[in-house]
Amino acid sequence: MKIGFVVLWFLPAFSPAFAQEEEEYNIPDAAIISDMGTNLWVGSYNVFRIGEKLLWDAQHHYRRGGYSGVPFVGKMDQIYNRHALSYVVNKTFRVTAGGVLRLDFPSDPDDENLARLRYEPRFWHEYLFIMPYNRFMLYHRIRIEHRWSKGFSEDADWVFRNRWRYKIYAFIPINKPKLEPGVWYVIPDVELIMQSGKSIVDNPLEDLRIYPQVGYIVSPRLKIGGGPMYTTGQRTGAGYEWRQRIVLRVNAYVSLNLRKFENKIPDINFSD
Amino acid sequence: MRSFFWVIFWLSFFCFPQISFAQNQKFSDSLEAYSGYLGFAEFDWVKRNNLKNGSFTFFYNAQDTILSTYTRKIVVSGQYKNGLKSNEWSFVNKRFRPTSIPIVDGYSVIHKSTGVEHVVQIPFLNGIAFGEGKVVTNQIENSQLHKNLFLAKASFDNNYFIGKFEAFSDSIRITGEVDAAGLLTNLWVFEHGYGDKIIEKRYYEKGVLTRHEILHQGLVHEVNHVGLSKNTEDEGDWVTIQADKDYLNILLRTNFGKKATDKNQTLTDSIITKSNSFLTQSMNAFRTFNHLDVWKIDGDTTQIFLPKLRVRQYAFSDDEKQLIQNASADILKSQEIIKEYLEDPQVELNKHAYRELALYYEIYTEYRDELKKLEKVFNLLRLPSYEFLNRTEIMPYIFDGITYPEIVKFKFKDNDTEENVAFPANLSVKDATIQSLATHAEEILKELKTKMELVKPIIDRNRKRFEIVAKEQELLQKRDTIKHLFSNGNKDEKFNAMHARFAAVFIQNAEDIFVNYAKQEIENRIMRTDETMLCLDEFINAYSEMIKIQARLDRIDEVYTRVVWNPFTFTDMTETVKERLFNAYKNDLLPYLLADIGQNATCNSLAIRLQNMEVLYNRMRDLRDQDTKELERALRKVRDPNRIIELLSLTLELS
Repeated sequence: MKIGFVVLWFLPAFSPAFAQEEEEYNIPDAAIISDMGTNLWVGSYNVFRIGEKLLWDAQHHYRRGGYSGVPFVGKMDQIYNRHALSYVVNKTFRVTAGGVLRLDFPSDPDDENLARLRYEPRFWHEYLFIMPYNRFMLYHRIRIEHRWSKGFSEDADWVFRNRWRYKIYAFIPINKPKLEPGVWYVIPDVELIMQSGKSIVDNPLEDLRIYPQVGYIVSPRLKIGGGPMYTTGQRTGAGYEWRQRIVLRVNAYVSLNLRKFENKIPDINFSD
Repeated sequence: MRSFFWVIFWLSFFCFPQISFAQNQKFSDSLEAYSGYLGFAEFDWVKRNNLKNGSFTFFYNAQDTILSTYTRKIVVSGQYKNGLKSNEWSFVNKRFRPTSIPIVDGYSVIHKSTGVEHVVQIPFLNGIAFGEGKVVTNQIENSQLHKNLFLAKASFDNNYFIGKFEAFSDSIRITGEVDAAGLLTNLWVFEHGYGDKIIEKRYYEKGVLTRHEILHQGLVHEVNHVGLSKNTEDEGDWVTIQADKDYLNILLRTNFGKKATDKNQTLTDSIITKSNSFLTQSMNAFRTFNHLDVWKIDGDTTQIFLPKLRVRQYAFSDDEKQLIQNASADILKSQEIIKEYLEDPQVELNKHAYRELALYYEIYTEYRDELKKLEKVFNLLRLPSYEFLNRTEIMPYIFDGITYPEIVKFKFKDNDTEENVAFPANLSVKDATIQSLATHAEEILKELKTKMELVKPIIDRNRKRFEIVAKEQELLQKRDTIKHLFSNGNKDEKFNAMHARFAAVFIQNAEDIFVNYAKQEIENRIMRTDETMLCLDEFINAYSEMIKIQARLDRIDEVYTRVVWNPFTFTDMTETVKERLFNAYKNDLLPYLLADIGQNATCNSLAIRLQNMEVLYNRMRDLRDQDTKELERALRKVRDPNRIIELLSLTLELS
């Protein structure tokens, strides 16, 4: 599996050699770049501290998409619930594991042949590496998801896939040297999402996300941020076709300490 | 029946002494017979009434407390009868040091010794001294009697010396007699020396000294005790007193008879002193030894009384006592004033420059000499013996009269100068009474105080002039210290933002203060030196105060800051707690108070302004731990520092 993943990583799907091998599938001569789709994702990211090193991660997303001449918000896309427990190993490493229940809505709401709602459960685990620098923080995130999804047609079967996600991003304060309340920050963020599974034939690269984000730290417990995210990836069943999206994202990040008062002092300080 | 009677009789006969004997207990244990002398005692006592009855012996043996080479032993022995001393009693004190190598004698190791043996023997009858007593002091050398140092013999009756009294030593011999009433009587002879003998004779009649002679080199010198009544027929208050030190001093104090003519006056005084001393010692030898009441053993109250004398009393009235007390105090105060003036280096220095000082130097010297005469009289009048002397008679002998010059002569700037001075009126011997002497002492004190008020400003001014040189040097150093401190010349690691903020103002103010002082005339400078010194000290102290204040301000920042770890960024984030209160303090109140310090960096205000920071710190610390919801609500949109001060209930000193 790992070897396959690495190969897929380095072999661009739109290379001419690859296309020649798939000739019997009537592959077009060149990759097709779809028209730019538009989406709006509104998310709340919540982390609750429930132990000295234990966090409860709870994320909720509300996602809409452009449809029928209405960009960004023309139709309902997904409602997304992600929960997990995180264990903070030290100041530079965190492990997270949990489940997701995504509610998928049909791509064409007007097509009555399509089901109105599909559930997509996932099990996921994540490994976050933190690299502190004087003026910014750099993060490497590896997230692996095991997902079960079902198409919207009546006779659709459950399909199991794995997602392999790597994301690199940084928190860079703008108006002060440190990340602290009152600081504006930018986050350069790039994520590559690969996928594998029996149904994955010619579309291993699910998504490449480039998300420059701007945010503001209101308090140690609340920050807000957002920005436009460009994504592109191979379409399912037609790996030669590359879909594109501009997603406007608005997020709130809430962190609360749910421990008893006497356990809050001192706050986390692992090795100093 | 008859045989039964005899059995009972013989049983009773044999049991009686045993029953009787069983009443007597034997004490044989350690005992502190005299305070501080823990020894060993053996005696019989009756349990029924807890009275000593029978023989008594007390031993004390210890290393001598003065010279460790000596060993001291006390042995007291005698008989008690129903708790009262009876028959012959003796007190023996031995103080010996070994003078030979140790010698084994039987089962003991002994030394030949040298020292002094002192023995007191007195017979008692029912607890009362009665009969012939003796005191012997012997010098012992190599365990042999070497020499008799002292011997005294006396008869006792009813605890009093009654009858003949004799005492001998190497250099003096006393013989005398005490009548049945315990009063000194007939002739008491004191023979001094062996070769060129001096014989002192004191004649007594019923305890009254009627005649006192000293025979020397075939001449008879009569000692005329002025003021002491020697005629038993004289009318007055005659009182009986013991022949103790106070009485004997009367004889010494009244010895003026030959004063004017006899060249051997000193000899007479020393003879009388020696006689008195030996008489006191001899009589007391029957009662005490080295401050130990020899017959007061283990709580015993036996007391032997000294012979008695009769003297005429001239009691002091309450007024006279008060006058003597007041005059003595006045004389002492006057002497202090004079001493202070005459010994003041500024007077010594400046009397050559100031005529007043030179004149008063002479005047004070005059007063000093006259005060000595008054002091002598009042010192004598305070003695207990003077209650038995006719003060009118004795006054010419103890007071020389006070006479002041009309013109005081003194040297000023190398010239002999004269000045008429109004001293108090002279006091002649004829007019001398306790009242007049006391009044004169009071007048002198009053006069001295008045004169001191005249010369004190001159002295003080010159003293300050003298001191000012050193002080001005110090002032200069202080100004430079301020400059150095606030410009951080020492590269002090404690130099902080507050120092930097106020450096220019403080350095300038210190310079201004110094310049303003230096511009003054010398007279004004003298007045302002101390004040300026204190002022500059305020600025120097402010430097260390600001170290503390800055630390406190930093502490407030700390206590109003909370560190929270953020799980998204993985960083510690600080946030301000009680933000509205802290912002009011940080943004409005603190700048206002710091500005106030800068505007009021003056001698009188600086310390108080710095104190405001302490008050602010304490209040902010208190508020951190209090519920401040209401306060923070009230602080909303408030930017006026005075309103903030009011809301925070701060009591500050502001202009």
